[in-house]
Amino acid sequence: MRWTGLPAKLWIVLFVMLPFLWLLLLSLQQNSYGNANDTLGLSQFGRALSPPYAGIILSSVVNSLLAASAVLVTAIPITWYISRQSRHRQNFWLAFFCIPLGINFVVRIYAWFVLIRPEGMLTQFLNAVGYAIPLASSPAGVFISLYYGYLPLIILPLFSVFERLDQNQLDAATDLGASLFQRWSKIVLPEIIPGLIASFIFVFVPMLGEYLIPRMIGGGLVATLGTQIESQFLGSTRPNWPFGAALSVCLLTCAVLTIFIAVKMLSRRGTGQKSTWSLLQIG
Amino acid sequence: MTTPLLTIKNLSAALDSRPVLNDISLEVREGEFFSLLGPSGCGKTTLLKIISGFLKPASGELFWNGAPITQLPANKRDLNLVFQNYALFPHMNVFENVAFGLRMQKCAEDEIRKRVRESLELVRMDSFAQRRIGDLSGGQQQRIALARAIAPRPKLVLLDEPLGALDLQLRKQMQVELKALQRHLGMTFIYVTHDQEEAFTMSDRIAILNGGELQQIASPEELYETPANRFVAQFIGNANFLAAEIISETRARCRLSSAEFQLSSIETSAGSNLSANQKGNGDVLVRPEQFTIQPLATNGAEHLKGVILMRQYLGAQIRYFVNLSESDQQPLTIDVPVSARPPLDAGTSVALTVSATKLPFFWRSPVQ
Repeated sequence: MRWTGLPAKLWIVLFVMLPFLWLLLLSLQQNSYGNANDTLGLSQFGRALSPPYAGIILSSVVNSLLAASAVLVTAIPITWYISRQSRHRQNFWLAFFCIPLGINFVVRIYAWFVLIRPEGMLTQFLNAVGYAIPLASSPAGVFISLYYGYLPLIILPLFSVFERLDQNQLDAATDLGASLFQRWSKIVLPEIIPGLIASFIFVFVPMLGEYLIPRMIGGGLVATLGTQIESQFLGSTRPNWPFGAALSVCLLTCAVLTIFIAVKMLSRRGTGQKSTWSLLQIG
Repeated sequence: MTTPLLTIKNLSAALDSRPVLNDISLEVREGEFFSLLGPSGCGKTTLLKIISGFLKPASGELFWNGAPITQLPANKRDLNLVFQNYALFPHMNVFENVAFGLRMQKCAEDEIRKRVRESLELVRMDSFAQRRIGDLSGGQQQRIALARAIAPRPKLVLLDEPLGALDLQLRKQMQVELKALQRHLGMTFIYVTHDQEEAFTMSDRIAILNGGELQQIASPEELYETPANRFVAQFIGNANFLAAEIISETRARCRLSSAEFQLSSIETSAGSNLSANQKGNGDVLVRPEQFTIQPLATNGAEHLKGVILMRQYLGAQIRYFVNLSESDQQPLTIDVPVSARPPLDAGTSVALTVSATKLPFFWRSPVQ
């Protein structure tokens, strides 16, 4: 009896499996929560997967993919730069990017709300230079805030990916005649792709479930999976827990599907580094 | 005389504004096994990085077959490195690692297959072509790193302490193999190490570095027998310094004397160290095997007298540490073949004679 594993198993059963099973059970109920003699069925899922909700799910997935990609693409050169510095400077730059994380997420997002209001600094500036893009209560504003909110979160996992890359390997490639482009295409990218995918998932999954940003920045006009789930559970008008549960199961399915696809992609390559695999488990 | 493959002229370098190399000049001939030897921090790795093109010198120039290459980037130089930690590409198998340099040269696929197989055969790893790097032992990775460096047939291979991570047995074996491989290929090797024995077993010539300064470039024999200065004398093998005074002004035959006894029959080979009219104090270098040792019988004035402090059994030799009488200098190290005579015990009073007839002489600093 390996009793040392007991706390972990107990924790998983109590805080992961039981809540999930309860959510699943809830999603199979036909009517609004509270009806005791309900029969189980898939009607909530039928509703979730038809308009307008199917469109909301799809646009949430697409927006999160786009925002996570934007975060990843920006973070690569930043983190690459940091990882090639001396140890002392690395700490300085990492602290620089992580300090905002010390401020509460709500406060940080509210700061963006102040900036992108119609009379806010950013909107005024854009107006002045001739780009009158409405940011408040628009998908563009939500996108910018998602991007801002999650950029620091990808720096750390990405940094650990780049830091593991041995400078001697790059020098060896140079020494054998590789140009800058060949170094990246033949050495850097093949070695960091598992880490890139893991880091991507690390921000994509929480973005998909994000409701605070669309709620605050979108002002209720930008419908996402997150905001729909929230309003089904906590909304003042006609909350519907079974439907909210069904939407939640859809959200989880999307997240698990993404991770599954990523794992498939990595295992086909067959060269995934063990350490980045463990990173993937966090995602 | 033909142009050397690599010429380094008055090269100086600094790291983070701290000078690490000062006015280094040396030549490496084609087909030579050349070692850069020095204690850690002497600047030998910096010099290697400058030769390979990863560092730019603060001043000085490099020439390749007489043509300047100081500004040539690392990927354009016809030389390959074997890294201390091997730096193999973990996402490629053994074959692809060895093929990398050839692919960069845009060789035809047939040619690549042939050359990779050849290189792997040379390091006796031809059955490992499809293995993953992570599945190889340290010694095997070392061979693959070597195969990767020689596969594109560069003129020059630079090796940065490649045997440092291997255990002693494997290291000795690899020393023999490396030397045989270098001779077989006729390639020029520059070998960086802090291990004097390693440099001695393989090198044609050795450059000794200390504190960023070049101390001496010579064959192993010359380094051992006529070291240029005290540092080289002490860094190469065991060194005993005996205080000596030059009492004759004759250039070729200097009579040396010390407080202890007179080395009347000893010549100094360091003619360049002495000028005709110099007199004064210095030290002669006596290697451990240049002494003969016997129990003190008579008070012959021509003998050095001492007491055995400790005896070590080294297999083929016995090593004695002897405290000189009436002297506060460090105990002498004396090696005697085991078969010579019955071993002497610690505490025995002994008489020492120096068997060599030519000894290097060093002035006491400040130089007179």
